[in-house]
Amino acid sequence: MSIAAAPTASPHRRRLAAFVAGLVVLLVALELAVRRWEPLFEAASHRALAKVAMCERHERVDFLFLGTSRTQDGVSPALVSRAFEERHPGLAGLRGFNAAFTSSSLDALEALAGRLLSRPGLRIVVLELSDPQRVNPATPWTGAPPDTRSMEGRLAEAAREIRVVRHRSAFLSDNLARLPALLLFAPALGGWEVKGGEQIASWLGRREKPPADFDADRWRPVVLAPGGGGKALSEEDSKTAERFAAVARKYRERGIPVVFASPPLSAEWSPAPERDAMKPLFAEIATRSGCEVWDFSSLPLDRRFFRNPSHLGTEGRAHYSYALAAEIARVTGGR
Amino acid sequence: MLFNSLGFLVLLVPALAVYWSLPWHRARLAVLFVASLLFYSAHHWPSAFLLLGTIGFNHVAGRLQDRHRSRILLAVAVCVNLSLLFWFKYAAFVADNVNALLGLAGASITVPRPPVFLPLGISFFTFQVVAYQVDVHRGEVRAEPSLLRFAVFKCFFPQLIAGPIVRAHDFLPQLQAKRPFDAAGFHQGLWLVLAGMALKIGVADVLAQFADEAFRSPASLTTVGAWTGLYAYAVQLLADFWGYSTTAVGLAALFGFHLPFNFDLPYLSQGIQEFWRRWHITLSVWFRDYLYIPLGGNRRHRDLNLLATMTVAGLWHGAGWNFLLWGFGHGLWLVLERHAPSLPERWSPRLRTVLKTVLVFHGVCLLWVLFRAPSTSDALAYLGRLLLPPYASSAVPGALSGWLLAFLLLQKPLDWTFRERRFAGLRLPVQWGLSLVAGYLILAYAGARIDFIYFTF
Repeated sequence: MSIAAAPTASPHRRRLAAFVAGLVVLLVALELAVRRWEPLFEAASHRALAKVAMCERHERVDFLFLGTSRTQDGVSPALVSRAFEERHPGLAGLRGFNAAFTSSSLDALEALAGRLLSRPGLRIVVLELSDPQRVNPATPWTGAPPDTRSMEGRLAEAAREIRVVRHRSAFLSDNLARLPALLLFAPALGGWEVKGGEQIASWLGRREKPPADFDADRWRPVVLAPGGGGKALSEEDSKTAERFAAVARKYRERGIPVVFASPPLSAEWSPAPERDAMKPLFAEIATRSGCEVWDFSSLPLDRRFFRNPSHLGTEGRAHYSYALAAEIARVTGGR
Repeated sequence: MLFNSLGFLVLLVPALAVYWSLPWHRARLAVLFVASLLFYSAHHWPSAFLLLGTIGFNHVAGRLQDRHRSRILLAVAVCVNLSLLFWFKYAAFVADNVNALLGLAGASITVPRPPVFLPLGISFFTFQVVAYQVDVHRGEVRAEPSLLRFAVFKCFFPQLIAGPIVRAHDFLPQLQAKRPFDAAGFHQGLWLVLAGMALKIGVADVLAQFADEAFRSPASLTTVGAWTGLYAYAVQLLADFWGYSTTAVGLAALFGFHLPFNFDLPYLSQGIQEFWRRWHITLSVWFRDYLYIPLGGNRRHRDLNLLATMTVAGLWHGAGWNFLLWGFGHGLWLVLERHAPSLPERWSPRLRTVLKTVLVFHGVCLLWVLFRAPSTSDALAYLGRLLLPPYASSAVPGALSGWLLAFLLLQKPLDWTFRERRFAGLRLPVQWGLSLVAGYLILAYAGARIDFIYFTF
């Protein structure tokens, strides 16, 4: 009996098969990784979603800051906590997160409220009230859906079943840089760290320096209490006031106190509507929302606190964080 | 249909599977023909009738030419092909200019502007069949007796709409017999397709944003902004067309065919003549063989021949004065280079190499302004921002400088992997690594879906 020789693959065929098989394995591994950490890959595609996802990776968040880059650069939750420990022992041990992000808008505040509300344990939310927060355009983080009338659109829709394809914008260079923070560092971050070096430093446990010469009186904001309105607003401002108030109400309905804060601005920053034109709006928001507005924008502060006229630097962040801690302690009764 | 569309994948994968599973040569050719027609008509189906018409006409004309070797037949065949090209591509341009002249002369009549569309790739496939007719007339190739084989030669989809311009003596012999499955060629072809698409999507389309921004409003640019915008366009154009051509060569390799490379690191040229030997090589060869040499070539009126050839080459790229000026500019440069003294011998060879490369690259860039700007006046405005005061600086976006630097450093190693099946010979981990990088560029940057620049020519 003879046994026919089995056909053998040529070396080139084997090499081609190994190349293709290896690629398939790598792609499947990537797909599985994206499915495993899908919320994080989804979040990497937009700075707003990234911030919320980072917040969600914290086991506990007692106080939350929302706003634009002015708040992002200006508030260190770790320093707020430290101020509590040093000056307001009743609040010692509370932990916070700075979920502000560059180009935040009123639309973003409205859209994110739903997700942040589901966060258990929140004790206070500080919402930024500023000109950019009011006028920045909406930044949609869900791209336009494919046009499913065309074959190309239908194919694109079908391809989205592959998670690597669906979340491919997470791999764009800017977004890709968010993935290490989301996957690795998030629980150690306060939210103000934008640069990779700052994130790694926080991850390694480096603590920020407290303000050397904090003067509570100098950093005390003008407080606009509810019921202080009076000046008539334009129709547009009235709508804006209602939208801010509606955001605040969403949190308050869940029993979470809300305050609005207008971050400090240097004297050089001009025009600064927060110092004059927006004052009636501030008062109206306080009245409609039933929440205090803390106006830091009119404080006469040294240039040394700012990295640019509208954004606090390292020293300014330390002082502003302590000032916010003092105000939070005041409204919560230090408990 | 674009190579960078999902629809193309849906066509390609079944076409490949059916092609290689069929044991009969004619059936395989039929698969290629049907796939090519589907590919072409997906973009604009009426154009497919034009394509079929030119296939039929040129097949018959070629057979007749083979039998009679007639100059008149050749003239008829060439005229029919070129008149189609003229009608679809240049008639509106001519009408506009005639009307402008009539307006200047105060005439009240106007020539009607023909409402024509531009069939995809007409410039490429017209040149391919003109070359075929001439080659048959010269006796360099025999007319293809099989209509199916001729149709595949004419409309093989990887090269149909933007080249490489395939010559009959290169490609028709490949269609004569069944191609055996060549694993190494297929392997290399996969890489060429992947790398070509990465060049298009991950480099050209990314740089397009910066180039488009710069050319949108030249008046607002600083000197630095204008130069970086121009660099972005120069690299975009190369990456776009190099990417397309590489993909085309790779796709052909997947079906077992060999197509010529169209680029050979042109921005590293040390002279303008060398540049044209390395940029869009199959077009340069076409113009050399079918225009420059018949005009007299190097034998007589060499400078005039150069000027005429390059001016026509400029017009081939587009019906507009800026394209004509661009071609003329290149012709003039070729003439000047021929007569200009070379750099002093006492300078070190490395210094001369660097200096010549930098000068040639910047000269080519300056001429690209004519190529890219929507009109001659826009081109002049852009050139003004590049060369004239006020000279001002501005920050260069990090992404732009990073992309340009990466391209500058990586073009040579990338080109190395394209040649002589070198990729297929690399160690597997290196192959996977390179493929992942290419795949990453395609995946992350695939949103723009910008047409290939040369599709409009």
